Amino acid sequence: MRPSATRLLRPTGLLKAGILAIVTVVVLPVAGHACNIGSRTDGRDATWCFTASMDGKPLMRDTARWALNNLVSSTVMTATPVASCDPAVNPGVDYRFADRDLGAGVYGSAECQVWSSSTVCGRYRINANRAEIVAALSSTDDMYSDGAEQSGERELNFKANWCHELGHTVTLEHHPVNFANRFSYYNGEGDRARDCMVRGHVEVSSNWLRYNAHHVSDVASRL
Amino acid sequence: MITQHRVRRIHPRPRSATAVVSLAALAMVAGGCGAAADEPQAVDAASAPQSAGVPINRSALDPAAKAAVTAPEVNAIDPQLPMTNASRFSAVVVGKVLGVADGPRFVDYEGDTEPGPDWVVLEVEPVAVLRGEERVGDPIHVRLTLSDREGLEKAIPPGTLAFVAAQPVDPADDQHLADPYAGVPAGKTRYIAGAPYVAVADGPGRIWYPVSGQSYDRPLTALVPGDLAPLLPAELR
Repeated sequence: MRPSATRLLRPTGLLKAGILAIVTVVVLPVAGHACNIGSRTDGRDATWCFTASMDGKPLMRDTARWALNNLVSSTVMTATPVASCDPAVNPGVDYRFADRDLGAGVYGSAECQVWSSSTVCGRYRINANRAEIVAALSSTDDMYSDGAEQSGERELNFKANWCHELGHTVTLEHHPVNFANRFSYYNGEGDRARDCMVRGHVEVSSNWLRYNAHHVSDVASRL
Repeated sequence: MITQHRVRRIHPRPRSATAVVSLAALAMVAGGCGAAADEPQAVDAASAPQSAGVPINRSALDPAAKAAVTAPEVNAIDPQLPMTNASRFSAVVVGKVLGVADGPRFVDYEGDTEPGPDWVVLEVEPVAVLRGEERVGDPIHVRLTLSDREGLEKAIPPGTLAFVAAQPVDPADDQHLADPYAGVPAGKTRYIAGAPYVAVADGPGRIWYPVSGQSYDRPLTALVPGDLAPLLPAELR
């Protein structure tokens, strides 16, 4: 469900709209240029594994695989699974996927576990906060969740989170706003509004896309 | 799985003259508030923020300055100013930072003995309990998804005013931790706070979120809902 006009006119909505306006003015002028977050994976050929925390969670596994396939099909990256995250077995693994409690209001994170240099990460842990992603489906803490889980919404949000975190590992930063629905609601900001690097909850009605063309180009030029 | 309890006091707790002088005013506030379970708790006169106006040393957590920093990129909602969902949390407090301890280590695979930690634990002494059963002056221990304890200690001076909305950790998650009680004294509640719900005062007019790196040009008290503001010590209102 898209945010209604009345919702945006509530005091909290006005405050958030004000913050959006400030952030947009300050950040958008540079958003089309450097998108580096200060770290990136160490090459175009990535290997990956599931940590023990992903055992018995088929939806999380399937959506992570989808996100990896999306990364490969959209960018210059390749991704090869390995059976074990144990560095004694697979010393060069680049991505470890994990289900971790990251606290309220956080859906996922990408954290570098092994730095190759000050900007290059030899191994990331790619986290999803399953409990919080699921909670957001039926709450309105995130103003872009309508508070009612719809068919496919859970799968969509796992995909969106993995896609988002993998984007960080290939130099992409956040969009200046986390309003996945907001831009489609205002209808005019184009694909960038709905791609993987937008933070927060995604509704099935958001026309959610993947990596935008600008970001795909960035990945090719940087890795 | 190894279960251990660590009692670690990183920093002493200095008592300043300012705190002593403020006791009378705080006691007056305390006299008008109840302390029933799950209700906002009275302000106790035992403590007051020591250095709410001390600027944060953000460079201590700058990844470009220290490659070992593992501050994650987080996919999180934006903070609310003021907070509008306090009822979701078991503990909502304003307090002063006492220190930072190493927290648990996440087990990625069977037999994982790689060095940690993967979290730090922030120790905060409440000066006002806005929600929950914690007590003013009795420190709480809050897990944060940062691993750079040294950087965080340099960034946040002891006594810095903090706002925390936290929930107890889910014991079911302990199965993936090598040391789930790390950083938390025995018998104390293990809390966790997400990036949008733990903030510190970066000087008198700025809020800084150590996990996400976000900041806002507002006083820390801007996070406190209006109906709970009377529970703050008088000097913070």
